Amino acid sequence: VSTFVQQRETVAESGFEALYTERYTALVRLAYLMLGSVHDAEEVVQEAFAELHRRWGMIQAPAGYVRTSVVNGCRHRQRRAAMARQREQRSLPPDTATSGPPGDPLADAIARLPERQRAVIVLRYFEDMSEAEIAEAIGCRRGTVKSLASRALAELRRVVDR
Amino acid sequence: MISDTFEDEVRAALRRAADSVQSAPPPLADVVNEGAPTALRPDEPRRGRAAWAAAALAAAVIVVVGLAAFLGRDEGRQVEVAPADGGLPVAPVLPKGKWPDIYKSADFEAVYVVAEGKVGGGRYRYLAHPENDGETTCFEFDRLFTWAGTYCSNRSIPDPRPVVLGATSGWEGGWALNGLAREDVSLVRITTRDGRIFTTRPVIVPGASMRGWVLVGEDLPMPSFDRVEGLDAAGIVIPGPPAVFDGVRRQGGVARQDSEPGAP
Repeated sequence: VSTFVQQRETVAESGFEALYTERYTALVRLAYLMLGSVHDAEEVVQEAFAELHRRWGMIQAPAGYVRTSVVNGCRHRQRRAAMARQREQRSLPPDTATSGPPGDPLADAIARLPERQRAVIVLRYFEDMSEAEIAEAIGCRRGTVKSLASRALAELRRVVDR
Repeated sequence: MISDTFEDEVRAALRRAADSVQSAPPPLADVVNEGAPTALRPDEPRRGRAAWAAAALAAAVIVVVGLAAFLGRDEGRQVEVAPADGGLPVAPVLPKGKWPDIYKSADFEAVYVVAEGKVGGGRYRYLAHPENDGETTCFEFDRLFTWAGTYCSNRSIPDPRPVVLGATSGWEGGWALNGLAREDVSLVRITTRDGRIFTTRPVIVPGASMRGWVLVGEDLPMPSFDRVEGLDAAGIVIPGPPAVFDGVRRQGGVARQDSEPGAP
């Protein structure tokens, strides 16, 4: 029996490793688009995988779970950063992180979007998530997702047309 | 109307930005920091007799421990939300409970709750965003009998957020802690029917033109409240509003009022 269980554990372990290897870089990129910092993105993704590791075997859809964890982790970090800025009474400049190569005005404009709008844009157009999936991931109604996306696109267009 | 072409441009810009990131996964052991992942479990391990015996023993231990905890439950325990730097409340590390993970590192810098679903016969949804550009603050609920956390916990929603309970605007008819959201209230104290005391500080929710209350937590359904009161900066008690209980009734709740809200 113990050999059988060990074999199953090995299978489970290799499943986790496979997911980790396959999704790590893609998730770092997703987090980077939301945070604008590779370092922060890596931290968030590693925390998400560590959390998944702790719950492995209890999660039915680990790929979706870890992605949601990453999205939540990014948003949590953004809120903390925003509140830190408020605490310092805006003595720091606003988030100046850029999320693209230099000279890419559209990518820069995306990076400057408000946090929730940026999250919606990234999840919609980078992760190709549906409105319903985004709504669940960021915790709002589908109508709100639509509204955020619409406003974000309008803002991006305005910046690009300028 | 935004054209598909522009959306494609957005996609391309995101792709370019993402492609600029080259990040190889570090060794797995570094991430899970425990070396070999011994916690991994197969989905449905077949159990032998010994394993079942161990499981039965564990279940018995859980029952005994649970019974002991119930019998010696922490009456009178006080949990306070301490202010962090800048006066913002920070969640204390609570004894492990229904959703222990939240409190490990959560900073209650603001109110952020999402829960939607059917729990205990009541449908509710909270959306309270501090950084929502003032755009999305909505409360829709039929009844509220339980914490959003129960829902999150049941659904294994990762990283659920702390719960906001009550706000001065956007809520129906004096619901919840309305009446205590006053400038002179610096602390809110909730006493439950079983004698536990929770205190928390009111939180201004920036950008949302409302004020919320963050409660620390455990499973603390509204009907379990015995009284709610405010304390001013000097510690003077400001009686809580009957609306706390009226609100429950209006929502078809079953709350009983054993003592006058706000009574000392």
